[in-house]
Amino acid sequence: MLYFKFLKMHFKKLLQYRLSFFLSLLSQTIVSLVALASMYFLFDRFKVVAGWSFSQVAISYAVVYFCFSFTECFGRGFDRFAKLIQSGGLDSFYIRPRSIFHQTLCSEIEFSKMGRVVVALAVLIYACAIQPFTWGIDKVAVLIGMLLCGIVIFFSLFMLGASMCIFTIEGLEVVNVFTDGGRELCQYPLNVYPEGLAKIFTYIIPFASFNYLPMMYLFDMPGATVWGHALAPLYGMLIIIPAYFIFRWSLTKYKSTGT
Amino acid sequence: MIEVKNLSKTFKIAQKDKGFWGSVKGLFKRRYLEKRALDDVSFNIKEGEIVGYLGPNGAGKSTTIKIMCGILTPTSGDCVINGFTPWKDREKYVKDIGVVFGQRSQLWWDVPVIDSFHLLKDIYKIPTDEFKKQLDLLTEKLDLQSLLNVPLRQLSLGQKMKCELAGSLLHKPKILFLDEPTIGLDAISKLKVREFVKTINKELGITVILTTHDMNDIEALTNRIIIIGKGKLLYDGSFDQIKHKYSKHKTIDIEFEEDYQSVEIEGCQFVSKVDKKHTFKTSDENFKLTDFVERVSKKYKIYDVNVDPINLEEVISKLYEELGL
Repeated sequence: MLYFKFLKMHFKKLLQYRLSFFLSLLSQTIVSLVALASMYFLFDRFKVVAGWSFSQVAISYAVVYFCFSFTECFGRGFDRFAKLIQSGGLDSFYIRPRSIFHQTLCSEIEFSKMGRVVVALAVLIYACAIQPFTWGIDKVAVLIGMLLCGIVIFFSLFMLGASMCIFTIEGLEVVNVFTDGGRELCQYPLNVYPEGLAKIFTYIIPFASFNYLPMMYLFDMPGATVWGHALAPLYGMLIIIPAYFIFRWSLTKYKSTGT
Repeated sequence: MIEVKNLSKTFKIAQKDKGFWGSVKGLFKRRYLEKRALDDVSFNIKEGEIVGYLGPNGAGKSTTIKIMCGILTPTSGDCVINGFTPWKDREKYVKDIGVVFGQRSQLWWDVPVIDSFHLLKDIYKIPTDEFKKQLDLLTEKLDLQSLLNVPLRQLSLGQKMKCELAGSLLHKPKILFLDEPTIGLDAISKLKVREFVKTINKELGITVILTTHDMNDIEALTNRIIIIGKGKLLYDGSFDQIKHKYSKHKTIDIEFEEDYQSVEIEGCQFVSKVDKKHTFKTSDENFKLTDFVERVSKKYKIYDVNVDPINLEEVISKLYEELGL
């Protein structure tokens, strides 16, 4: 498959700059550990925040971080679409007999983000181990659903951001409000925030669908239902459909840049 | 093979008012200026032709090429190449075209050239034996053997261009678009690129559309040129005819035996003077060197005369001038 050939090429490229790779891997890892540590100290003092324990918030943090970093690693081409337009790289996608979506996906893979992915995964496993809850096939399925849904949502946001770049040529900070901002915000369950904000991140950008809502089911919280909470990740994933079509549509409006 | 009919492309450019408040206003209310990058351009190109596509910067050359490659969608007009409309059947259409942009690379910067070629093999789904045959052919014709295992970033500009050319031909395209392929190259590399383009056109029958600012590219490769300016098609025909039209323009250097302060010759325009050497220009159609020397030597003592016909760069700049560009 073409994607794996590209993967191999990205790996070869990475080997050309080994030191640079290890340094960024290291810094990425440290950054995510610092974020976790600050959360730990917070809970060390307050024990419970808005009804959530440290291990529960740690799971929330780990899920969001895992999804975001994973998408940053493999969906990097969409994240940096503005650069692709400015460098003329997008022009050369148009002259290849493959879809622009496929080529953008293949165009960049940022392995150094794997440092964060690994940290997030380790935190997730550790937090699951110390969190006293009743496991079952359903809970495992919900957890996997959360991870998949998170990746799909962040990926959709990257795609929407890329679509906007077609019109603005330059990258937009507005997009980062939702991607980076969303990532920071959703590390804590949404009920710690004012209602308006929580609503935006539930219904407009469905961040709640891969952490707050399914986590209520995961921890057997009062009021948690199968249809409303356990299956929330499935609803959240639907965002990729409009995102994909908006991306496709924006490509027909591409104006290219001068040489 | 290539039919371009009434092609037009209009870009909308957002107008901004000056200053801080102008920018703020621009956020809410935008005025757009329409820029016609291409205005009703039509031409046909037959299979196996080499066509030079000329025009000053900003004339619409790149826009045309980008439309023909399927990158841009025109505002109106038609373009059928190889039976396809580029921007409609993009994925099917581009299998049969090769594109080289002189100013940007399409190969991977950090990895050996051969790896980029193998990736292209997968992108175009070229069967292994066909790929090998074509690669061998291109390696031989472009003398690439020593370059294939070197990362692109370590190659010189000329070497890079050779690799770009090879990369654009691996999938055996029927049409090759070259956008300023000799830009920035040294004299030897330019010659090699021209020779190679001529060879693939003759031996493989590839149709070539070439944009360039170097008239020597045109002189070496083709007689058919298309000139556009300000988005409009201005000329479609033979290069020789244009050269002939301007061949009456000549530069004459005369070195005299004495240091004359001013020399006046009928039918000639004085340009400059360095010591005893005076330079003139003439547009006399019936210019004959023997008559000229005889005429001048009646009044002045001539030591040496040198006549230069107008060079190609001057031909094209005169033409642009005449066309109002």
